[in-house]
Amino acid sequence: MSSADSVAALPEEGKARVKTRGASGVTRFPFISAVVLALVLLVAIAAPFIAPHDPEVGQLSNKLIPPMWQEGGTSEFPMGTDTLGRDIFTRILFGTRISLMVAVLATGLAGVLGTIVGLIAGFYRGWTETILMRLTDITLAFPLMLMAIVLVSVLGASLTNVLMVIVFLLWPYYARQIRGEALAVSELDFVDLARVAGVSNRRILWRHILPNVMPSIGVLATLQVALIILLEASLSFLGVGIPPPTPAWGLMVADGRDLLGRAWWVSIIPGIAIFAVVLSANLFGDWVRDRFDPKLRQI
Amino acid sequence: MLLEVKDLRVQFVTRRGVVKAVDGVSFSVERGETLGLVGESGSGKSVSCLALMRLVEAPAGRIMGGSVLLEGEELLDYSEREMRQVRGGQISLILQDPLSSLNPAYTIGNQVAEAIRIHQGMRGRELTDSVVEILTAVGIPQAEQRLKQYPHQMSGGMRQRVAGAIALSCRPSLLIADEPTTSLDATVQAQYLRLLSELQEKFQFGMIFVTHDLGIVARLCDRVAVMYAGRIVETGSTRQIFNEPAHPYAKALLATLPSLDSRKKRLLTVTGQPPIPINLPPGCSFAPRCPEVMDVCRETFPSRSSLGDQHGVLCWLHPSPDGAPSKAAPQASHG
Amino acid sequence: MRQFILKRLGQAVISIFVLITVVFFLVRLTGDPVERMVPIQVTEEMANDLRRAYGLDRPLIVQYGLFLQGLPQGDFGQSLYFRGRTVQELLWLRIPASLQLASVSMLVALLIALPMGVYSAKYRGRWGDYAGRIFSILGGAAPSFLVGLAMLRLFAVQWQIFPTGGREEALSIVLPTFTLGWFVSAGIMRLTRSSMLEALYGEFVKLARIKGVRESMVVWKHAFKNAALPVITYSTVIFAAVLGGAIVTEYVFAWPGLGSLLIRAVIQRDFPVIQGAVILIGVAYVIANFLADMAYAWVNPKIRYEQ
Repeated sequence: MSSADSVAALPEEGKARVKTRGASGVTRFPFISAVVLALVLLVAIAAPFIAPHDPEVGQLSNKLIPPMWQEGGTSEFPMGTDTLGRDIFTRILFGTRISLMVAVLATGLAGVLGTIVGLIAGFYRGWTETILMRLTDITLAFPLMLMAIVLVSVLGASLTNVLMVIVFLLWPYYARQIRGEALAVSELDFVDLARVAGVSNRRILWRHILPNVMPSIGVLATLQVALIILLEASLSFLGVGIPPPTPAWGLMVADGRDLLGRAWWVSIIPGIAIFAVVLSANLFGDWVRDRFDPKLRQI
Repeated sequence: MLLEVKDLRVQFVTRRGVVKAVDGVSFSVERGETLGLVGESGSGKSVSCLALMRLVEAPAGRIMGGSVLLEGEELLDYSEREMRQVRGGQISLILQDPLSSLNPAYTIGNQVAEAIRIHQGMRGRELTDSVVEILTAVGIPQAEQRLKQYPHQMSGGMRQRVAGAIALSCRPSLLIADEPTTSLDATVQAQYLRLLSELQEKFQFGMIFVTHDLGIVARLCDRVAVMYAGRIVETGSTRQIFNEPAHPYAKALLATLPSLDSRKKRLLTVTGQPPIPINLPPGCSFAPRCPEVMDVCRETFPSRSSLGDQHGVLCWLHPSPDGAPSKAAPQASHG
Repeated sequence: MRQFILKRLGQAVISIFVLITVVFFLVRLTGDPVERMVPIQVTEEMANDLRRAYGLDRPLIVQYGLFLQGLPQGDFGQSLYFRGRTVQELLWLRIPASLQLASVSMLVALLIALPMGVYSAKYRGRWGDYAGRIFSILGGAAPSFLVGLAMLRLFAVQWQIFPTGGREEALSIVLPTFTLGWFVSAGIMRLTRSSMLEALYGEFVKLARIKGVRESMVVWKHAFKNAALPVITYSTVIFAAVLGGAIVTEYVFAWPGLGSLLIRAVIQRDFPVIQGAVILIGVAYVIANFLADMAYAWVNPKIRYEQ
């Protein structure tokens, strides 16, 4: 491939390549975390078929059996049982469903809402923009956890409410990001061209601007999955999230809070499950960001 | 002789292989003289300059061999401590981009003073006076009032002058200017070049001027070294290079200049990309782009042949009289 | 500069006002607190008496007005759970603990994260860098309740080195500090590392080396001062979040701060206390953010000298 280049306009290729040498290590595909996430997805789908016990009903005679590798443990309950005799392994398997459902739904809904607001604000400008962005700023002005606790406690603890609250608190992140990009894109020539050609505003917005901000939405969404899983688990742990007897991981950790001396596994094992998933989602999200959107790198 | 560089080699270890960024470069500079170092981006000009100051970044970059003699002293044998005295003291470098080469967090007074403090140990009033003096010398009006200004409060041309002031503040014997004018507009560029000549007249330092703009070379330089893929392929006085270029690459570069006699402006003549010097094949690295390529060019690297006083070239069009392969470019023997 | 300050100040004031209003109406729109507060067997008359006592019989807008009037004096009303005690009293009791935990954790986190981030950036690719990055990646992903409970299990239950909770003993603060500090330093370290990397590859760092500046000065005087900008902002914001947001940590270790007060109030549905705690934490957060902006502007000459 030989192309004619003016000497003066040659890119600083050699230099740039030498400079970024170490950074490419970050962009290597995160194999382990991808496997963990795929496994979680698989387990969430297959939970009823592979789980050995009922996730919500247990026998009190089986209560607080230690995990199989400890003295007194049995392979019937590989990770032990809780105070109600429920199999922790089964509950962890079913717990993936809760975590994933909240993560996927909240990410999706917040993404859609935030994107719409961001697009409209960035494209129409003027008063619409001012009002929408003030709203975004104010929502972003307060600590996430605090607002989540208050909102859930006021609305009542339930899966739907947790979901709604998370969506309500997270859409501004998308709105802020997408607005900036919509602003930039709508200043490009092809938008003017479309306008000159008589294309309606609405069509420009959906056909021309949206596809250009899509990558950022994807990157942001990947990054938020871990945050949402952690947020839901923390709310459930504090008792202002998903109510019992649902096998939400955070709730399981809370169950074992007073049993640390006698039965550490009741809270620590589900805690490790959350940790593993959040860690994988974080690493995967970092990779997606570095790979597809180096602009977001500063955060 | 002020500076004598012999067979300098610099390597970078990258994920894709070893880059021989500078591969056996030799040149020299005398006091009051200006050497133009010409070549495309990535040809190893900037790396050569940084290597003179031993500022090739470890651990990826390493100086593999050669010799750098500054007034007869071997810099490659200096300790890091001694080297720091040389940097900014005897050798100075003006970087390309005035926007990013000044520290945005400090006032320009502070940044100029730092070098003087380090090398001449001045403090207080004396220090401020010499800062003002050097700023005035590089043509900054009302220097006293500008001491407290930050880089972003100045224009690009002013910032480049500040960079010049920093470089000259300790009266170096050698000044390296690494494309110092690329980011300036044409008038400011001309002023700056004039300033550099005047300062050289005044302080009598030797200068290496790195550029890809042959127009500047013609105006400013006494001698020229043309770099390609980590090697100097042709050296000579400016007159020699411009009037009788010997290497096809030098000819091609010259052809990019808007010529005076013919009306048509030919801007694009060097076709193709310069190679990234990773695992280069044997033979001349310019062969793939060379309009006058011969079979021998692809197999063996040409040796240096002299075309007269100071004028030398590495090209099979001008085989060296003894015909022996060049010492400067042994192939695959250390790869 | 002045315009910048005024603008940020205006934003902060509006945010606080919106927070107060939203919290006030949210808490009331969800139903009659008295009904949640008293057993069902209580007669309507008694319930009405209670309502009158708490001023809940007046129109909502009047209640709001009175509430706003009381705020400057820190009057958040009476606790519904602890009869006869004002919310203000309850909050005052908890503030020192929250401040102490937040400041100590923040200090520890900075002392760990800053040198570590600078080291990691300077010696990128060495084992120390990898260790630092693993520390930071794990700290950013480990839920505080897991870290907290695991520490409790090991250091308080099994080896009994530290107390299991509360704030009575001098050593009580160690485990909560570690739990919170790890999380906080993870973020700071990561940010310090990345902005130091950017700075160290900057042209001005090259120029400093060219001037003959010592490497330690290159790192700390030239690179770090530039890299510190985002770190300062982030740290202030994190401090604000930690101030009231150490809810999980406080809860795990029964640390008597605002966070555990809030959780207890939520469980007891003690709305005046929830309201008071949220407003206090929220205001502290907004103010800290405002200060972060000011600090940023002060360190960054580009904003400082803007007309």
